[in-house]
Amino acid sequence: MFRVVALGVALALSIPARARAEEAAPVDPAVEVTPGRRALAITAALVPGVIVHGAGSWVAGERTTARRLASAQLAGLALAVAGGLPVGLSGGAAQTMPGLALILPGGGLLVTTWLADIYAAAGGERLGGRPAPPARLEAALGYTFVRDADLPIAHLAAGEATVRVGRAAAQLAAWAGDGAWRARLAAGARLYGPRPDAPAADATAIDVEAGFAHEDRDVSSYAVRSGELIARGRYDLVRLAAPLAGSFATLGLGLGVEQVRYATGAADTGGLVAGRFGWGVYLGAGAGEVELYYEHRRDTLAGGLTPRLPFNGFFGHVGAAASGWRGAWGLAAGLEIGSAYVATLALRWRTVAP
Amino acid sequence: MTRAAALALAVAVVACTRPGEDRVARDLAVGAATIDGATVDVAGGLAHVRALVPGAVALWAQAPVLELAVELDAAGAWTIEVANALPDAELVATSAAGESIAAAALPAARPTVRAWTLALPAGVTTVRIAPPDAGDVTTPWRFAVMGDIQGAMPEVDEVFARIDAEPGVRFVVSTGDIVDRGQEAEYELFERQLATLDVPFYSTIGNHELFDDVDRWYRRYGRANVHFRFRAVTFTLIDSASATIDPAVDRWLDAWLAEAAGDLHLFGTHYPPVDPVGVRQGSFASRREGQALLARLAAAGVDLTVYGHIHTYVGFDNAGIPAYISGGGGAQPLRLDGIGRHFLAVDVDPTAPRFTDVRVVRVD
Repeated sequence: MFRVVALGVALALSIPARARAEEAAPVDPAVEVTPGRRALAITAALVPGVIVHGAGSWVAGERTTARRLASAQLAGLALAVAGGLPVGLSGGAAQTMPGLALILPGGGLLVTTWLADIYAAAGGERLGGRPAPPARLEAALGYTFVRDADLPIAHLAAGEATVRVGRAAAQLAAWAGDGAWRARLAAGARLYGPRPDAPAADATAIDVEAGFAHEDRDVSSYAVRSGELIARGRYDLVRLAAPLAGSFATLGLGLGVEQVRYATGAADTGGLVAGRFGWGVYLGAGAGEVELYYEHRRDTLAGGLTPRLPFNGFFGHVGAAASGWRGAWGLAAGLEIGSAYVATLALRWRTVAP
Repeated sequence: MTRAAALALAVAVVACTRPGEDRVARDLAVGAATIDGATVDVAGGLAHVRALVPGAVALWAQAPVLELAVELDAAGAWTIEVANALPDAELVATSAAGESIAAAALPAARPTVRAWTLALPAGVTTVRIAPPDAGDVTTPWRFAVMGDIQGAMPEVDEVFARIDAEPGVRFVVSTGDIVDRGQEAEYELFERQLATLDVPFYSTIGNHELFDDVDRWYRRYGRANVHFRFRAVTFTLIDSASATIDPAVDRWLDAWLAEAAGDLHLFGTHYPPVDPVGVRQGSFASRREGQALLARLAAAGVDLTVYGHIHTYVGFDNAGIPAYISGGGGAQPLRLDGIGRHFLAVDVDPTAPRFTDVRVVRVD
């Protein structure tokens, strides 16, 4: 139960649990995980697992994992309802928007516990994935393709560089192409978790970041400046249960302000919300990772989804990101789906500890 | 399983980057109808041909001034009925030879239904249906703006009664979300309620019109993108029901903005391009698209923007253009805002020319 609460709190408040991986959840000795049972467990993780998270783990004999996932799902539901009810009942009153700080972690728990159950049911820990230690320097250079029916932006060159010194980190990221460019400078601190000078057994971490961005959209005759404060957390799920080793959950929450300056001289100032949750797996021994995520903000290239639901109009986009490393060099690829498709491919470089 | 299937379907649906593409084709088909020996073509698709049978045509107007071409193989007596018309609309018919054709007005069940009978010659007859003040660009006048009726349809006659009581309102401009679930019964009830309104109701669609077969809208009312000019004011109502504007509609909009350059111009659409409460995101799916739209509207000199979707009243500026969210038709109200059902009364001084006042009229 402690670990369930820890996951909930870690995702909700970005305070990592102190549970230890070696406190492995017991396996039901009566259940032999044959290939047939594994297939049954995966099926159970899908149905009825989509409703009752942990069903797959239960069938695989990982009863403790199942209970923790189900409990975390309930915690997520409670958070989502606690945050969402005032928003829904008020019809989206501005005063209820702080509820997003509960809705997004709640949604994160609801989604990630389901994916984690599928992973556990499939015996994902056998992949033996482990996180890579943070590098002092990282850089990326790549290409971004945008398929947006409404905006004339399609081909972008993109790059970023990150430097980490102790707890501090700074990043410069930019893209340019098709009559628009954007640059973002961010500085942050690692409050908890591994650092280049202090590696750790897992990648559970809490970061805070302040970012400033300028985007010039000559093609559309306006420019945007924004500033934002974001807290991000990563939680290695082995802390929740041993069968989840090699997988992780992420959460980001933040607020920002943007100013749009139009060619006519008029300007608008408005608020921004940054909210993101994801689930992923490590590849090999620090050889990379794959993550599926939901990003709530609609001011990015991907924009937002518009499912035909009664509360249509408030969603962000979904995405997948993958990276693979061989020594100092690596490749990264990503796909985001919102009102536009955004695909990225980048060559990456990092310093490698001796 | 149902949830997973629904999620997969939702993702598949939303993954399309042109969700409004089909509606563009539907819009283009509005206003034209043909039967053996007779063709009707309404300029700009500004009226939907509800019925065309030998000797009779029935239209639903989406603008105060209509021009249509009626082409007949053989001369004959015809009845032209226009629903959602201005109560004082008059019909002027001219033959291909330039001769005036006399039309006799018929009694109608309610003020917004106008009907005439006339003897049409073979060939093309041009018909213009307009009120006497259509060319008056010196006298101040007024229209109303409202949106988001949805589940409050059974009581919307109370809103209409208040509009009827507001002096001088020539017509209502609506930003959509008239129905809640897009069901046929809702549209039927809407028309019964609309019978209590003494002025026409011109509307685009909202996301709720998409919850079921959107053809129910097209079968009754016609275009979702409407553009017309009346008494020195250009009205452009754009379909953003999918939280985006289709690129084809964007091209229409570019042409309409250019055409209206120098005019007093109202732009209306369902979704606010950018929600003034930024973190709420009750706006276009892409904030970039919303901002790009506002940049175009500002560059084109649009004078007033009106939106719905958010069930409240907000007055603000976007890209320097006065903007109003008025979702007070009765749909589940936004709380904590101190306002319930309402509409906007907009005063026009065509000589200035400017919108001299945008006033909130409370119904509750």
